[in-house]
Amino acid sequence: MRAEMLSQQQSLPVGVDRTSREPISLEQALAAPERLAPIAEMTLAERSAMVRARWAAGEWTDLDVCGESVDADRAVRELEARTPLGMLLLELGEGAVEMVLEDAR
Amino acid sequence: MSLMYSALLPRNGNPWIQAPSIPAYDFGTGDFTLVAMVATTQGGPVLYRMANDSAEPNAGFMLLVTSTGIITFVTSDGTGGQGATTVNATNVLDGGCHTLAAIRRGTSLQLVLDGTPLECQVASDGTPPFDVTVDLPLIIGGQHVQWGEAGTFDGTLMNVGVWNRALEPDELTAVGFGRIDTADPSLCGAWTLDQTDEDSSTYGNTAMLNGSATYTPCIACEWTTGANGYAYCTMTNAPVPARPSGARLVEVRTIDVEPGTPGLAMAIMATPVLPAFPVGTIVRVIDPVGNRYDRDVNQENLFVATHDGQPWAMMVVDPQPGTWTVEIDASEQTWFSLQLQTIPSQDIVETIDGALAPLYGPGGPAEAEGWLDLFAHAAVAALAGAAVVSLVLFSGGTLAPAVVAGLAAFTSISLAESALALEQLDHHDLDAAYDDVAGGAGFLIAADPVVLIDANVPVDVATREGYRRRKEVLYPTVTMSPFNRRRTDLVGREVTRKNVQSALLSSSTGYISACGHGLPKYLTGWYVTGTDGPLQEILTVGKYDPREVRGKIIHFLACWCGSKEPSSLGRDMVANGALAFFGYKNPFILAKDFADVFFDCDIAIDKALLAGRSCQEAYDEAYAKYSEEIETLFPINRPAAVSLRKNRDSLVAPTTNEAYGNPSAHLVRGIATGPQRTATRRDDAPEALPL
Repeated sequence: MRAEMLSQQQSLPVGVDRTSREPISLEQALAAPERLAPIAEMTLAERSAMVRARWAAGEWTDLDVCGESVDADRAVRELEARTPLGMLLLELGEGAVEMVLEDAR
Repeated sequence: MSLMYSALLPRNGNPWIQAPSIPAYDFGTGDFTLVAMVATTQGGPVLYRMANDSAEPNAGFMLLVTSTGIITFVTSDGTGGQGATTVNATNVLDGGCHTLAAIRRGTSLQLVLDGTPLECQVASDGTPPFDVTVDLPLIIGGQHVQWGEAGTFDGTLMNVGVWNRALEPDELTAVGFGRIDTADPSLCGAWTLDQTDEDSSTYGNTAMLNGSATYTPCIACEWTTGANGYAYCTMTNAPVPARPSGARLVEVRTIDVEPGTPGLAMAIMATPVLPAFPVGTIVRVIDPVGNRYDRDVNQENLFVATHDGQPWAMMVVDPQPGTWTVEIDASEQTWFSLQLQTIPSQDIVETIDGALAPLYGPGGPAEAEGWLDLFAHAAVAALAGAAVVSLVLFSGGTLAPAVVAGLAAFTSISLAESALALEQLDHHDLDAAYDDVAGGAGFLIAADPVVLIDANVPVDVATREGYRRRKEVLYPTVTMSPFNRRRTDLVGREVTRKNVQSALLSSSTGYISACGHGLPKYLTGWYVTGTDGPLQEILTVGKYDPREVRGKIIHFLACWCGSKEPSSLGRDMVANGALAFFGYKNPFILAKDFADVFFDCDIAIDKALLAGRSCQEAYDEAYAKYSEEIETLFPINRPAAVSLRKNRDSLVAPTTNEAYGNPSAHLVRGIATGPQRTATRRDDAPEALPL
């Protein structure tokens, strides 16, 4: 299961290149870890784009956050509007990336 | 200790039991002791070795209960004699079991009833001690020639013993209940009369039954008293299948409660290891002013747990001084053991230990065999529990509810565990001792309430699904948990501010587990009006009575209430006396297809606390479950796994910050305990619903 999951994750973005600021996939990050900029060094726009790309690739599950139902479309809207809910969803997306990287290493 | 049957000696049958004369009974002018357990309403001769073929007694000795309750002990050499007669009529004719002892020590005669020396008038005709040697059989329950009183004892007799020395008070306590060292060289004869006339002493001087005496079953009773107002009694029945009978056994025991006695405990168990109530048994507990305890009560000074209207376990704080009576009416075929005891006013452990040592000895009942001894284990264990609780009750000026003591009185633990608890008590490690008693119990019953609150708002996924899962997983656990006896459920439209306040004020201790919407300052329940619009605040910072939360462990499955800001609801409740708070400092996140995973992680807190874990342990168990589920979910659904991780890291508890209370607080005794415990109670508050 874990190997299968990692295989599916290979092409999904996990950050940006330190120099070019282009998205970097898990496969690229594992091949050249030095290229990967830490999330803390990424701009909000870069982080949002990364998370949105992952959501679009299926890394999403419908949520209920404090009584608010959130599907993928709403998640994108909240993220674009940079609402508190959007920022929370961003945090979750980044958390997923952290977990994937930890697991892959 | 064997099953006790006693010899029935009805007057009209003119029976007696006669042990042939042997030199062992020739006490001369030396010390000696006569002991018998008697139950009678008419009295008669108890032990007799005295010629009486004329109007005046001849040589020998005799012990007699008159038809007025006067007890007489006479020694004579045939020419002169010495007699001790009780100044007042005793209660020996009340039909209950009594241990009667007559002692000659040097030149003095003494009578002791139930361990208490009796005031006697001692008269001598000549110079004592008198030579009581005479060549006559020893007669139990009869006399050689009737003179002045009934010729035979009218009642029942058991555990008759004769020693050629003056027994000490501690020895009298033990031998009165048949705990006789048969190898004791000073023992000249011992007849249990347990369907046998055999003499269990080294002399083996089997007695012979004369007349129409029969054997009848009786309830085995043991009782003793100690210093500091300590009084103890136990009533036990261990039927023998080979001798079935439909007979009912009736017994009445009393104990005297001295002024200033801090507590009185009673419990009856159907087996020595499981405190089930002995079905079909009738029990009455009556206090000195005639009150009967036949209803469930859970107040600060009184705890009563009943079974079909019969008192099952009870604890009275500051009991009414005077005579307390316990009556029991049971089938001969019903196992049971009832213990009734006071809590000494000081030196609890030493006092109980000192008072029970003569009964159970330094080795305790563990050295004996049989069901009755197992029951004795339970009795000692219950006492140990009561002792532990009493120390908790009266230490540090903190008054705990009577239910706590009731719990311990209802606790069946092994002797080893009791001993350990007592040892820890002696080292003043109250918490450890208490935990040993509670933790070692196979059973505890508490009466402290658990309040379950579920907003269950239909249009709201979080509270609706939360309730669904809690109803499936948590509610049955609470019902089955031995750590609560009262549960209050507030669900859906019942979750109003008024109802919550009433439920929380109904007890000064307990556990509250709620699922609702939260913000840092408040928790919400049902709608303010109807089924739409805003939800009403059921607990809001600055708007609740501190007594609602004081002394309780609180767990909210709700967003924000555990916020880090100093005036968040969780911290505010702890500041107002709550022992502990579990909650979330951020909004919790439900991954819709995996909601139950999250609920189960949160319910792990409830389960751990209801199983008696400390707040520290409850947090650790919940955290471990979260981590395990995150690990499981990760390969399946990253967003769900990361949501769960977010919730885990949002969980606050006493472990995460002392602002959320005491990590060692727990519900082991069915109540919340900890340094902030108080014992306030609103008498006008409604009782929680019994299970």
